[in-house]
Amino acid sequence: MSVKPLTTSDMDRRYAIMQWLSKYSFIIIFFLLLIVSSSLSNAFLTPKNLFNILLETSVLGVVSVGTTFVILIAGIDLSIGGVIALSGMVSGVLSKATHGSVIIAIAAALLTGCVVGLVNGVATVYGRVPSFVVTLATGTIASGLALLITGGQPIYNLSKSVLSVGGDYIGPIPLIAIIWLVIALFALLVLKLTPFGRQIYAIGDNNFAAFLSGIRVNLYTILIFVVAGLLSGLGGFLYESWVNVAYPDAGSSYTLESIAAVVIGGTSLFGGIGGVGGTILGSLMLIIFTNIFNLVGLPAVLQMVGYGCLILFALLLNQWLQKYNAS
Amino acid sequence: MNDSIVLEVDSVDKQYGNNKVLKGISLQIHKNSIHAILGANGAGKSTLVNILSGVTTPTRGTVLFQGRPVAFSSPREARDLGILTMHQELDLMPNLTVWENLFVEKFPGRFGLLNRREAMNLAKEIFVKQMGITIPVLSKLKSLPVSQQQLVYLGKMLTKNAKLIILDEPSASLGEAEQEILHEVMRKLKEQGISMILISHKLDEVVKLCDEITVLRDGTVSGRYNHSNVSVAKLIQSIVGPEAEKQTGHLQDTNHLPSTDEIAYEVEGVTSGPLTDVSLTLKRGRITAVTGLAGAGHEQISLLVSGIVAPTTGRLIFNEEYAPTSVRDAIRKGIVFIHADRKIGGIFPNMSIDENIMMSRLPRRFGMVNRTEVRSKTEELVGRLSIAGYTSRKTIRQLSGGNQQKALIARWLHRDWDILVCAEPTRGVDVSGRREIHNLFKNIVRENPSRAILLSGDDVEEMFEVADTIYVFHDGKITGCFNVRETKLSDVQSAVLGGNHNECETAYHK
Repeated sequence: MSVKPLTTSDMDRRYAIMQWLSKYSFIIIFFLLLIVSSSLSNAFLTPKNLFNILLETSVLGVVSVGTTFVILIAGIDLSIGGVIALSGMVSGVLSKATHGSVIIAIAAALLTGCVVGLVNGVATVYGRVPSFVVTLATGTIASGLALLITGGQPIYNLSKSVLSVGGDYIGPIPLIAIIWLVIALFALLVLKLTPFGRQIYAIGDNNFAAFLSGIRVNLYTILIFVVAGLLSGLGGFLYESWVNVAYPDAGSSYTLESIAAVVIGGTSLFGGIGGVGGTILGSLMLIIFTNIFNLVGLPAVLQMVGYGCLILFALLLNQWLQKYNAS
Repeated sequence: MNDSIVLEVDSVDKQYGNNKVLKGISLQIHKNSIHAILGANGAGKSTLVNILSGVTTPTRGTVLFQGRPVAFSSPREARDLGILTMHQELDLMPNLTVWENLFVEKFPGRFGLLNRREAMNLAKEIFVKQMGITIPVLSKLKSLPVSQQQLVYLGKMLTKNAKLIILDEPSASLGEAEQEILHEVMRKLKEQGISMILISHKLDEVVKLCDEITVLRDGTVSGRYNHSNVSVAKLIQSIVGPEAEKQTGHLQDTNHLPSTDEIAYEVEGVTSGPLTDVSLTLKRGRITAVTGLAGAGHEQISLLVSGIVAPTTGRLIFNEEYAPTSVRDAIRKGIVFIHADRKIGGIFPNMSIDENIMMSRLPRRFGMVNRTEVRSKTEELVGRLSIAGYTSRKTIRQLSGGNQQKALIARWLHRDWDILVCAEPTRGVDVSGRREIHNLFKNIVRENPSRAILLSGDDVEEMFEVADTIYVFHDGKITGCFNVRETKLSDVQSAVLGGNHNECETAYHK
């Protein structure tokens, strides 16, 4: 057999593959994680466990979609935890007051998220304060308000219709997982295909150049924070509906976990690079970490340490793969 | 061994993959001399500089420094031997004072305590005695203009026992007076036994200042000159090469323009920033340039016209109405702007060339980006502007500076506009790229005489080459207004330096 010399199109293709690998290195990490996990425990690759992972990822997945938008324009949203708690409480109280209406519950949660998101966006844009600081403040306010509403008491006995969203299945698939995936897929298409999506990348890549090109940078920045707030609000509703209770410090861990999910999914904290596809896998990876700890029976006290280590490891591996493939 | 040679490069090759960037380069840098290395973008200049400053190593050939062969494995090794490089981006600390910047790597003093008096004396010694300049050593660095920051950087090099200083386009962002000061300092350093390598696109500067000149083209040496036998014309020939001269030759005539007196835009008695009571007009079918020393106020004109800043007093008139007061509004009304700095206000570095070009108006279909139209329009523009190195997969970062600039011009060419404002149209672009961009501007107004172009820049020669009318600014006022076809370059230059005045009203204004 003779060896053919490389043609230009071969080189081009090889270059394209390398570029693809560097851009999508998180896919390699994801599959690596699947392989390692299934070899560690026989229970991992069972349908029951996999659907369970989907279920547990859903709320994180939904809020991480919003975080992806924010990080793509080089912002940070630290109000997620506060918004989840507040919107859960508001929606719980209002649905009880209206004899368990699920419509009111959802609307209240979304509206709460919207308002906080709007404040985040307006303060960031017109106050010229970094979103990092603005959202830290609004998140704290939201957490405080969540405590204030019932004086710190959880709201039990949510109505059947409210709980059905978090508890129902369509075939074997949890309903909230479907909600998450539909939202994520929709966001993915918006970012990839619409002018709005492309302009978000432009804003993240070079804010000033985007402004000079006539892109409505201020409006879009506010809009993105509103979307993030909206999704956090939805997250708040889904969370109460899933865990059967609304309580004032619900979802506090989601703030930083969603940032971790987005970054593990290959989105750059400097903005302009990445996307929702990576975030879907990133969110799944975080949940799989805890899942596999549980399956192998790691003691709870060690889980936290292991969880942090795995996040760190995934980030470093991602960085390394991107660099390795780029060179 | 020849003591008069500081650095000798002997038949050096450099290869990246299959791409031979340098082919048998030899040159000698003499003691007490300023040596220019010229060449178009991609000729191999930066690769050669990278080899000399230890960033990369040659594939073949040797480099001798002070008679000894050297093979640097890092820029640090080159620095330790006294080969120092000043890049366009200065790595200084903006929030520290001048003298702190000078000694930040090694403060004079003892037992970990800083001897402030000694530092001041050393700073004075360096700036006043060695460089012959005065600089406010107690000021924060960021409060100084770039030209003075450069001098601070040079001063910092002197604290490190510099023997060979490489200056990478130091005058790209300097006005003429500032450039003159830099040249004085360089001459002074030369007298003290420091050799310098100058990379520059400003050929008149090179001719005036340099003792020896090496021109690179396509990775080989295409010309060697010394102070006594060089001229700008010879250098251009060497840089561009015989083929390119022929290609662009027929586009050179600017003499036959249709006559037009229609005014496209008026600036009337405007005071804003450095400007006081300035009036000027842009005519349709014409290229108007505003120039002056850096900071003279011409930069502000481009910002005013394009709606980025609003005037404090005075009027802007466009189509007999008040002119736009925001960027978006300006674009909608037909005034488009290209920022002086590609990195800061131009490119989206991680996005494709296609999207960079089309971002000013993404073609839509059913609410989504119409990718086929993006591709076809981009390909048309890439062909029209001959953007070299384009593929649809590349990000714009992978293009050379000149081609990035073309892409940024292309960004507006698929839209409708009446007035194109372009600040520093060819900063950091090589000679042939410059010529192409100039011809593009000329062709635009010729093919579409209802359009007007406003260029702003410090490079008087460039403005003279491309514009029909030049307004010269000095200290925030217009001190000269020239119809290029009736003027000598030297007249414009002396107006820039504040020499003669030229009554605008009578010459060309109305």
